Amino acid sequence: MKKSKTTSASIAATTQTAPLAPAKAALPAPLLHTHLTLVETAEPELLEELLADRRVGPLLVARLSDCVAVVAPGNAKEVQRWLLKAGHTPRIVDEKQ
Amino acid sequence: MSRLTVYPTLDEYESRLPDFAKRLEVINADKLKKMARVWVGKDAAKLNKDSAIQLLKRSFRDPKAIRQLADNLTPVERDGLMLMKLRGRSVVYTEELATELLLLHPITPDRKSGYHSSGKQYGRLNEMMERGLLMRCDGSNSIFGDSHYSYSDSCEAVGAVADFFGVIDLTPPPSLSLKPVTDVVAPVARHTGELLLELTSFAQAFDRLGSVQIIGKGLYANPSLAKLYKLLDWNRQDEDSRAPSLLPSVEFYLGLFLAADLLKVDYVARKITTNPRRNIPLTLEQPLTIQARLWAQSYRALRRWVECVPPGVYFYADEITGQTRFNGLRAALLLALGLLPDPNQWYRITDLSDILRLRIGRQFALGHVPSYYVPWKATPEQEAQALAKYEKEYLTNWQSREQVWIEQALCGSLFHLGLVELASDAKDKSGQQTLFRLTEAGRAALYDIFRQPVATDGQSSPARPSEQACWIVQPNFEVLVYLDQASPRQLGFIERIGQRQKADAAIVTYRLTRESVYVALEEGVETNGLLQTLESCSLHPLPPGVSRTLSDWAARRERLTVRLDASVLEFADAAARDAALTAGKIKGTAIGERFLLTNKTEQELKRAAPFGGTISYEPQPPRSLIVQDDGKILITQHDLLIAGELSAFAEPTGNPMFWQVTRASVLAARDRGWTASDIINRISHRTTLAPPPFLQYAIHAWCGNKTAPGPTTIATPPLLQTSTAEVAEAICKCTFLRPHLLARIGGCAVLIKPESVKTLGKLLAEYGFAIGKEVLLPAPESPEKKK
Repeated sequence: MKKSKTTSASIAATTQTAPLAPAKAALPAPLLHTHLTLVETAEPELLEELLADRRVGPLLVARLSDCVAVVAPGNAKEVQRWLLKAGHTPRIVDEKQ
Repeated sequence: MSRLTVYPTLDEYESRLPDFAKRLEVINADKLKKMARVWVGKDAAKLNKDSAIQLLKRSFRDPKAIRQLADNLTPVERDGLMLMKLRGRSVVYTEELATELLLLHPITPDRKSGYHSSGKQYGRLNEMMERGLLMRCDGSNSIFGDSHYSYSDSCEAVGAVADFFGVIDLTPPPSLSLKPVTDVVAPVARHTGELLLELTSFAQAFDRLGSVQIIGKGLYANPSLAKLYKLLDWNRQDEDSRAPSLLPSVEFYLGLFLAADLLKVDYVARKITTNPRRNIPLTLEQPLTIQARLWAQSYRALRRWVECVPPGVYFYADEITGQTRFNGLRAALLLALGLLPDPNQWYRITDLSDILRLRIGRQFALGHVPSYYVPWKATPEQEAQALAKYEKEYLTNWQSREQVWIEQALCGSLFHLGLVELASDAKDKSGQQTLFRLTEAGRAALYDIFRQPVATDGQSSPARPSEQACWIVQPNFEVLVYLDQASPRQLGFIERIGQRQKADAAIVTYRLTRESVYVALEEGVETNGLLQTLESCSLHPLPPGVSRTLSDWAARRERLTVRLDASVLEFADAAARDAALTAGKIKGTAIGERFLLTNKTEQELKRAAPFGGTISYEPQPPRSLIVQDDGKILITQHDLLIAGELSAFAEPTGNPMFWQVTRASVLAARDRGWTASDIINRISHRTTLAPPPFLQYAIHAWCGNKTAPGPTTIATPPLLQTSTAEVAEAICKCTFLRPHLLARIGGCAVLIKPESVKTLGKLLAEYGFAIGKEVLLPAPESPEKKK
């Protein structure tokens, strides 16, 4: 993986809002991201609702589409627990089984 | 080093049977000839050691020789092999077979050698071993009870040296001479549904718990037991191992399921899990008459649980051991129940106990077997007196120990397992349950096995009996289940989808809740199947509100999916992804503009198309951050999550590879519920080195932490510096200088009072000190010194 050699001196102090969508990197070839926990909703509104939730929202760290978000590593169990506690009944799919 | 002793299951003993033929080499010629005699009769006397070994090796593998052998077997040997055939295995637990053989072929005490009993309970088993039909599974060639401490040379299992089952017929041994009782009052039988409900609910509770931990001594870990008791809503017995065990008990069912091989012990991970090679739901869906045989066999081999520990019996309650004498007595009791004169009649428990005592009691006891020796030079009167004393002690011991255990086994576990029913004798005014009779399940499991052999493993799937409607679903989501009409499969289903509210002998009430239905759906119950089964087994049509709500609950689950351990392929843009999909080189589900959910591995993808690499996020995501004292963050490696993670507590800059932790970003994170520790931990999780301590203090301070970094001050008190610590020490100790000093800071520096600068300077000058005005900085270390 190519590492950036930019120094801290070039950091610009801007205050724009951070996007939840992952930054587009120049990808000459597809990159495989493994061992991810995804939250997938039937409607975009439901995902918005989850992102706005004080408990679950901070644990969703990337949004891949209107209906799919990625859970912060190591927080899959916590997200499941919070979803159940919040009255959701998520279908749990273990992709490796 | 772990103290945990591994006790293999019979399956494991069977799969790892030692090569009996190889072990013949170390047996002496006389013993080998005795073994050869079983196969070739008197001609064995002519054989030398080598030829005897060759003959035995040939015979073990020769079906013709094995068929001929059947004619030369003694009744003990035939029965021994028949008991093994009944188990359907070429291995058997030593304690079980030894006691069963003793029951079928009692040994009369030899008066000349006295009624010495050490190891004698293995007498019949040893006969078979000496004749070379059985061998120990531990690789030893010695017989049992050979040493003074019979347990020291114990071996849990013995195996047959050849496949004898084809030549052994199942013939019922002679019945026991027991007198039936006809005046019976108040018969009590366990409700079949009750037992099935307990078995099913235990299996499901275990399934939900996932595993049970075991401690170093091999016993069940208390927290796991407590969780199971809570899940099952059973009462836990006080920890008095000697008291009769109350049922239902989690320990009993755990032992039962382990002995049935439905669960297995993982000795490395120290936990008990479901045996993947067995199908628990399928086993529990069998008719009880078939299940009963499995449970009877498992009860016989049950470990870590005993019915009671009678006084005078030593029992290792705090440590798991191999098969014990309790297993031996259980085997004898179950075999005796199979030898009742009439399986439909009532018998006295005490009569059965007496029969067992007369047949096995001289050689076997749960505790110490009293010995009798003919007194030295005793007169016939003295000898008779001594013998009478011995007989009295022997009888008293049996009645206070083994008989107590037998009563407890019949009235406790065997009644609980639905194998026997109990009643009172009409002539007995106490009204105690002193009579027993085999139930239908008991008859199938214990009596009919000699007469109508059935499949042994409980895994076979005979035609499922037709099911009848057995519950009523009420509009308030309560389901009333009639136990006498419910089949094991129906009980398993309702136990899975409902929450048990209350249960009695006839009716169990469940409540269908969103959570219980959700758990059932998560465990693999299909929505359509759920509604169909609920409807088809209901005595009345489902209330419309219930079926509508159940459908809603199921549909609600479809709205939200959590995908664990997912792999996502990231493309540069939608065109690149769609091109790869169109080319058919990569398969998966498109997500958003440029992602693809795939189940392909890295290797498969490498073979399929150009591939940029893999980033794994569990158990540790890439450590791709460099953090500086001032809160500047540099991302050294692009990944899918890093920007989202940083956005929680840092601010983006114009360059996507740089972020900045600021007071405002930390305050915003704090407002969203983050603590300083959360932020520091999240940063630490992604950096190779810990975040700079100064930044950590800053984050704490921004979050309003009062204790870290704590108060700081910028002041300008005059500083007195000395060349050495000794000089500073001398000044501090000087009585007339001390009033001018504030505090010593470090070895060579002392803070002085601002108003005393001139006075102190004069005093020091007067005493010869050279006073300068420049700060004395420590000399830099020379390179040589560093080395």
